[in-house]
Amino acid sequence: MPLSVVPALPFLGFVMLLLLGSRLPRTWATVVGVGSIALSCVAMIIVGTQYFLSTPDFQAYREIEWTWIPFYSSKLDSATIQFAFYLDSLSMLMMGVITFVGSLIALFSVKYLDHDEGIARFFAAMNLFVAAMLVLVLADNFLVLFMGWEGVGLCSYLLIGFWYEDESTGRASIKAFITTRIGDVFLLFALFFMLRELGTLNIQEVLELANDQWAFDTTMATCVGLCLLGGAVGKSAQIPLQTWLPDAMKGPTPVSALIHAATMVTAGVYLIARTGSIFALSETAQMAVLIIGAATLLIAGLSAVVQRDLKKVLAYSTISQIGYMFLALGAGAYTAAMFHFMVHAFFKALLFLSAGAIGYSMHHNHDLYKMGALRKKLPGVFWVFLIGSSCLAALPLVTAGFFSKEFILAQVYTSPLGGMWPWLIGVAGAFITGLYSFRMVFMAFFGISKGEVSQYPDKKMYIPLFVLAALSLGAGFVQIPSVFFHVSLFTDFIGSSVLPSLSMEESIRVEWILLISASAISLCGVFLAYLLYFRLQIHDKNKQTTSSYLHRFLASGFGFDALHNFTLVRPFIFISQYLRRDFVQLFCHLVGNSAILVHQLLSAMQTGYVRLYAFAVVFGALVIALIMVFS
Amino acid sequence: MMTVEMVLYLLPMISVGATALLLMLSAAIRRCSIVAFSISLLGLLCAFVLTFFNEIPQARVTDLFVIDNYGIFGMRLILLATFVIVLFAFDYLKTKQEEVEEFYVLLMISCLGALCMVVSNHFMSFFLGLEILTVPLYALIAYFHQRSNGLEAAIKYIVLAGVSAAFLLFGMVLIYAQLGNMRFDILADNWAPMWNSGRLILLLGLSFMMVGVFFKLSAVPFHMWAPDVYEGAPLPITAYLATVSKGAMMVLFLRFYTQLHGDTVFAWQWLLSFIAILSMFIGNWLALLQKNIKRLLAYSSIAHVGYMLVALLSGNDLGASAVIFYLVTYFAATLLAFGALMLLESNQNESVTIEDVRGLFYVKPALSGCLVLAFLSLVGIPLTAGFMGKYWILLAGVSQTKWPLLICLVVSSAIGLYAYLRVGVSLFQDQAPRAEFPKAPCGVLKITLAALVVATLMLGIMPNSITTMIQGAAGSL
Repeated sequence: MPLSVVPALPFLGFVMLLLLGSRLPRTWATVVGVGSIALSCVAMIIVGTQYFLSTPDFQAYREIEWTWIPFYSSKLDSATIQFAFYLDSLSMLMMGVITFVGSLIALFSVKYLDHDEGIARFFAAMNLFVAAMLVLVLADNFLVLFMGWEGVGLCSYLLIGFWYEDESTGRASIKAFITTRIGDVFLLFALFFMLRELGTLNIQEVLELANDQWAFDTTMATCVGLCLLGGAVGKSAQIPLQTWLPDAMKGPTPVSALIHAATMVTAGVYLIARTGSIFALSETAQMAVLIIGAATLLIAGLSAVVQRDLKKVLAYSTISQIGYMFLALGAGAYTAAMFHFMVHAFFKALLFLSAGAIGYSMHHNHDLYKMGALRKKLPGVFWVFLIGSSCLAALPLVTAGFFSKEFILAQVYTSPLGGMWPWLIGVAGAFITGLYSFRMVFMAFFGISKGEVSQYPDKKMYIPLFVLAALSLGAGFVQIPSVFFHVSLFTDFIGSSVLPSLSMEESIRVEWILLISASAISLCGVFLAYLLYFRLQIHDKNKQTTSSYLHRFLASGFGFDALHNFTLVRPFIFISQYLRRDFVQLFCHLVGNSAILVHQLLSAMQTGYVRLYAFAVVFGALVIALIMVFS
Repeated sequence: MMTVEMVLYLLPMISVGATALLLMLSAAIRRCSIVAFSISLLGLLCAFVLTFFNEIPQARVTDLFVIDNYGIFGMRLILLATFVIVLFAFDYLKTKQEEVEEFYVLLMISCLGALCMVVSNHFMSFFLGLEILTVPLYALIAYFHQRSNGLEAAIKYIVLAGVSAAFLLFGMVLIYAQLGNMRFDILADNWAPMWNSGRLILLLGLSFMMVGVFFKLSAVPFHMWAPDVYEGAPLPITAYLATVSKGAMMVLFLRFYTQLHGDTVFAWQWLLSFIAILSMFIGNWLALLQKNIKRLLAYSSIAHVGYMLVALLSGNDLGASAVIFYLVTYFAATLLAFGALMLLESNQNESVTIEDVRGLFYVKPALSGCLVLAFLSLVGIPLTAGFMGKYWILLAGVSQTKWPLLICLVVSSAIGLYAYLRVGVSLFQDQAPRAEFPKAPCGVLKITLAALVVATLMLGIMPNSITTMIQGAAGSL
């Protein structure tokens, strides 16, 4: 089966829903919406099987669909751009996660939105998202990748603002759109640099040529690396462009699960993993990835600890977990980053969908202070949420999160680019992760009941939850640290398409120490959560006094919104208001006004009199003859 | 010497001519608009199919015509556009009281003229083709003679086209007087030796010929008739004027320019650059605040001629293929726009304005979608045909470092953007639209519009579906 079927199916679904959307009955709209993603998942499985069977060593292959921009000239031979897909183990992994998690989430949303009018609109955007995301990860060319990149941005905007009657969702979607656009400009500049310096936008060619032409740590390599990083930072909500993601939680919860946890926000991770060899050429860029990852995982983690809103906790946790992935990328541990991406997609989708199930049962209430004691009322949700949280907190041995996080931490410690300090930050992050993930569990499911459950989640909603829960527990066993017994299926698989890890071999003793100390510290975090939110129940006791400065500072996500407001938005508005009255404006008006004036002048000449027109012809002939003869 | 083989090469033209005769006969026997419509469609289809039997590198048919890939591509383009216009006409004529069979006859004859032009290699066939194309148009513009603006438009067109044809003929005569031949390829050979002695006469001849060419292309300053005639003519004929009539002249002019090695005649290049810049700017400026959509499209067609001249000036193969490709994209978008307008026009309201379509999206989303797509393509927004066309022109220009022209193209496109997007904005304005639009689209028109939408998108997304053909055509020039 051709590779193109996988993105084509959801795209067809989108076209159908777009053209027929409002006329289709509800059932048909959902059938098309879910069906196209599910069929795409089936197609992915077939393509994947063919890929595994035909290329045992996971060799990449390219499938050219058509020539997108076919024009060429002898001087500008780079102008030809193929619309082609490229499948290697990295894009295979991304494609698998997108279609599989995507179809589970689509299935979940059927019931979740069962009272909503705009379900056709929802699925149209959802299908377009899946198609664009698949184009992004399968692209063989940066221009095609960029198209997918912008497509997912558009869908994110459309879906955050799905309930557009509420003004705040509109603001949130605009914020997400504009903030990510800032990153996109950087990405665009990276593309310009590549086209100018290397004369091609084909990803594989760019990587090869960059290795050949750019020496280590040249300005150009650093420039391109930093610009790519800028794009990744915007899309993946890393510091300093992370502020849009918590606001994006205004959208429907399945959207948060798919776009703002599992797939789109990890596009930045994919981009850096894909272009790893450019980052390997520049120590500055690589270092920047590491620093951004480390800073983000701490800051977002600390903010997650004090959020009231369940979805915001998850949003900050997503930022923080992607911070881990960036940490790994910065340390050159691409495999570890991709492993954590996969595991994170499972457990974070699970957590979001559980939050969605809670919201569904409690009139879209996501306030942790209004939940409590849901363990009895929603036992099914409790168990899957517990599994998700344990996975997030990386409870040793039983959860997939444990394996992926340990993998990252071990690699960061032993990598020449990483070392002690990044490792310590990662471990501190693990402590915080343990704290906030079990804070959620204790606040929502234990203690005194503070909210009513009005309806119970449908059986169909549990199917995705159970599948994802099983994966959150089981997916880790494809990559087990060698101290237990060596399993490295994932490394063998992904290793064929990303740069090899830089880590040095360490003695078994050191590995044990790393492993045990990291897991002990995350358990400490869980224990602290147990003390504070189960034993002491501090959230019930001092409701009033919690708004200390520190608390508010953390709750606002380290005041980044205020910072942006102060450093960017306000000056921008100030300057634009200032310029409104000044001569630049005069000039701008001049352009417009003169165009209108010219228009009026010219229109006045269109009198409708034949004699004038005939005169114009004769006059024109005269001018032409003069030009020809005297030039 | 005419051989049987040569007749075979001319079969597409013969087929269209025979269709016109057949139409007259059938009307003489019994008038029936459906029969006339079917005969014209069949005739065009037959001619289109016949073009596929002529895949030859180059064949001269007498002195007058040359059948090569370029000419055949031009023929196909003309035939397809006429086919679409016949479909439009059928829908348009349904609501009219007058007898309509002659409408098809005249259209077929005019189409024959256009076909004659795209394969012409001689002043004689050039002029004859032009007149065969133009004379039926006078009648077609004034076909519904109760409409006073139709008559007015026709009179204007007759007078001005007559003047410009006179210039054209005089220019031809001057050149013939100097070079003693009228075949393009022989002219090219005689050109250089005569250059020193008869420069003045040759240049004068060329300038006068250009008047006729520019008039047909409605390039500035010979553009003034366009808005008035576009507005007065019946809508299918307006579409015909904007596409076939202009396209045939563009195809012919590109051949003429290439055959005569226009890129070596600096005076000619100066002139064309001057006209191109004027057309781009004045076309877009005139469109700026225009409310009547037909007039807006007339001004847009002026600007698009300017763009095509930029590509033509970029010389080499790339430039020629850019002209052809742009012509194709322009045809698709313009026909789409006129097709959508067909559904908005009624006998009471023959000039749809921007105010008339306000809020139309909320009543007729599909129709508005067509209109928006057409205008986006005319502007040159990515994923539409117009973008690829403009991209190719820019590429051709950049490869020849025609920077001043390209800057003018970009700046004037920005002005045009404002003009065209006003239509789009109006469609989505949240107000109740003007009185309901009476016409329910008939199935034929729906399918035609859908096909044009697909064509506009396909050319924008997968242009390689025709670029090889176009590069082959340009290569045979």
